[in-house]
Amino acid sequence: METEDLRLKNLNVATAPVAPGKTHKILILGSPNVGKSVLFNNLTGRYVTVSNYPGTTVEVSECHINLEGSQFEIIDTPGMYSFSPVSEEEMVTRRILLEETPSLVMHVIDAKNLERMLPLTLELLDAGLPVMLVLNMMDEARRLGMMFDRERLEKELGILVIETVSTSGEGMEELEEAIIRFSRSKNDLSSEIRLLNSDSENLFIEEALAAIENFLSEDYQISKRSIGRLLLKEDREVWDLIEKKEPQALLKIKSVIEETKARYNRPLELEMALALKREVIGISNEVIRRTAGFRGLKSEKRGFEEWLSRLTMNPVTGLPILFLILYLGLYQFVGVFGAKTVVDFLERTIFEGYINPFLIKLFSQLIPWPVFRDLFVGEYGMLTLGVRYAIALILPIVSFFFLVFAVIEDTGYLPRLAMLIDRIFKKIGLSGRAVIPMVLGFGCDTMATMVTRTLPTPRERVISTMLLSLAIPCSAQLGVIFALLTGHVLTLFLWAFVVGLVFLFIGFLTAQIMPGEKPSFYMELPPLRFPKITNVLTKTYVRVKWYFLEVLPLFIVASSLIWLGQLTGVFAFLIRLLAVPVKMIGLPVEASKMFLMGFFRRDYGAAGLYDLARAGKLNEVQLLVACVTLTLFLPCIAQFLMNMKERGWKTGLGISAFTLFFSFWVAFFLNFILVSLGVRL
Amino acid sequence: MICDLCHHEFNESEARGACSGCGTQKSCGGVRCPRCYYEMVSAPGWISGIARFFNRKSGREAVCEEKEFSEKSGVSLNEFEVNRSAEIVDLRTVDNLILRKIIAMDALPGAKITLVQKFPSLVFRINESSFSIDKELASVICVKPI
Ligand SMILES: Nc1nc2c(ncn2[C@@H]2O[C@H](COP(=O)(O)OP(=O)(O)O)[C@@H](O)[C@H]2O)c(=O)[nH]1
Repeated sequence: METEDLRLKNLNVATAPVAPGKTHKILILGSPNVGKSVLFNNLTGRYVTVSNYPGTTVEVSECHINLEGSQFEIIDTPGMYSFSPVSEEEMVTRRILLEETPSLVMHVIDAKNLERMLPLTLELLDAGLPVMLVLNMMDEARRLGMMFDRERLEKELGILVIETVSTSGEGMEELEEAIIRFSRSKNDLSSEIRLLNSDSENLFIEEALAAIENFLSEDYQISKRSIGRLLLKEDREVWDLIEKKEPQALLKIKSVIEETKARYNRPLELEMALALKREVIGISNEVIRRTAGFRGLKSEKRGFEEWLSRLTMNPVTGLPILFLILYLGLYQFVGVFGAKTVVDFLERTIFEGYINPFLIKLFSQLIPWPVFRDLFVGEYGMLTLGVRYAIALILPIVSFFFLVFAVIEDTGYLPRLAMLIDRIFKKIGLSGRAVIPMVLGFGCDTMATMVTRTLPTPRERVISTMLLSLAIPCSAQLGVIFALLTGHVLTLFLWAFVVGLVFLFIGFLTAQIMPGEKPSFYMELPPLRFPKITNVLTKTYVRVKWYFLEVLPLFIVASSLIWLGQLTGVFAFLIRLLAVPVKMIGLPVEASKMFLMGFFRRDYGAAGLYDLARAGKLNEVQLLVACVTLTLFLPCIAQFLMNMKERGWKTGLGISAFTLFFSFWVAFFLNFILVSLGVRL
Repeated sequence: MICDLCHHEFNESEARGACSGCGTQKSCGGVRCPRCYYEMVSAPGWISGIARFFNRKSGREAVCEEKEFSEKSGVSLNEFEVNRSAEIVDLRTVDNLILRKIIAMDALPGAKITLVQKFPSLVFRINESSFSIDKELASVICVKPI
């Protein structure tokens, strides 16, 4: 305790003075994948999905907590590599920094990568923000034989430094204590801004910064010096800000920038990064102690793990591995075991054997009017259909998928998949990064559409939204389709072929039509890890819960709408209307019901298809056509809304309308070709 | 490329000078060695593409155009050998967005990296991390062996 007090007193604890009783805003900030979400969960006791690849924290999570009587609002931000944003996530984070006036910024870094991550700490300090440094993943650093002279680092930076292992909880108490102390200290921050050292090489930059600082007369959330740095880096957003606030300074600033640029051979962005780097190296040489057993990753050939990592990345072995993962994980586990064995058991034994008869009996005693009884237990009854579909069919399939996905995700395999597939994705106007929303789309397209926000350019976002709506079946559909087609190997293969072809073809076309810059790909490859059981279970639980709560009300609403439609005759009318295109693609008239349901949710329609096929009403060609149509069909209502929310109503509506017509035409031609060739599967 | 006759190693852009006085100018598809004026063909893009696929050294090399670095000291990462340590000597772009991406990976001039793999995407090690990048970004990074 004593020493803690002393440490704090000697340091420049730069909190904005806060009136007692006010809520302190605490920002958790740092590069992707350093453990911010885990830390957030630890501090708040809330569960937000944690993941082992960059680009999953899209939503800003906020949580109010109470520590020893003080109110804190903890904000987890999307990843940020540096103060100059590249992606939209980084833009979001910087906007939060500029607008939220945090009373504390916790910069979380991966301790073993101190050198790479410290530049951002310096930039934050330079901006005059109240920073605390959290060296996370200390366990991995120690395993590599790295130690840190924490006191020295605190002295060098003039801020508090805390070492943590967020997954095991090490250092959390100290962190909480520090937060509390921080909120109580009343140091004035403006007097003690730390300036970046200037060395001879960036003399002109320093001169320029001083000049720009002079020209700026308005107040900004961050220091003028760091505004100047951003201006020198030709940061659009900051430039616009100045244009709005004090346009008279612009001309002078512009000439300073031009002059400075002319004095260097290299772009200023690079010069400044190099200067920052020199300073960081100066600091890290002082504070990093490599113990006798130090083994950098470079020299360390971490045997099996390294070997496996290379195998997954080499196309010759990587592609078979990918297919093996798909076959075992998706087909065998989700498809055969989940969608067939478990669903059969739940459907036939539990629901048809016990629950439905019991409910029907119960309701025939409770409700004497058959019309109202049907609302609950009829052919499309809320309970006998809505709840049955949700619990017996969709829930197990989705849970199994998310379980597999969580395992794959936690091992760190996804970035490797991204690098394998980047070249192919470039052809359809995307980069390897888009693999993440695409794979997530196999779980839930709605969730995945939200994640497209992490893609860097608007063009990539539109293309991937399009492909998600059209050609990526969600886990519920996938499960039902696998369940329908297990044993029909050729049909399954043809289905995958047609859908894959549509995916590439439409992607290619959209990429040709859509203007915009070509994407570029870079991604960190985290080490392959053995999945942690707690992580996997938490992730699965959070996602399944989200999905289920989203789906169940929709199923129930759909059931009652259908009931209402049947009562009023609207349903029959719509089915008659739909029967025309349904017949054109060669399906029996009953299938129009399934498409009508599909409007509510694709998986709801898929479940209807499952019932239809089980009744033996479809031949192989029809089965194939129906599966293809449902896969390509209009997304569920939730995704329809998400498309509009994420891409704007025009693009969103356009994508949805296109999907509807396109899926019909593909089905039409597929049926036409198969039937005219007399193909029998 | 390397001259078939005198084994002089040169940059294709240098070779232009040797062409002066030739009627066909650039349309002939040939390249002349600036030292001995021996005329060779330069491999069309698809051939060097295939050659690169098999990781062989192809005739054409994208040598960094900076004058300070003579032929051997700086090649783009695309042309570098796998599993060999390299030092970054320059980032050959003025595009701020590209620079920021590379800076985010800490791949600054002076940094030491090891190229792990080239196809289908490049993978390199820097400090304690691995990154994957596409060949467009890699073409910006000029390295020399250490
Ligand atoms: N070994 C170790 N792993 C950690 C630690 N903190 C987080 N992780 C793992 O790192 C990965 C990324 O964590 P996450 O919180 O999603 O990072 P974020 O992107 O910064 O939010 C997860 O797989 C975590 O289990 C730590 O202190 N030690």
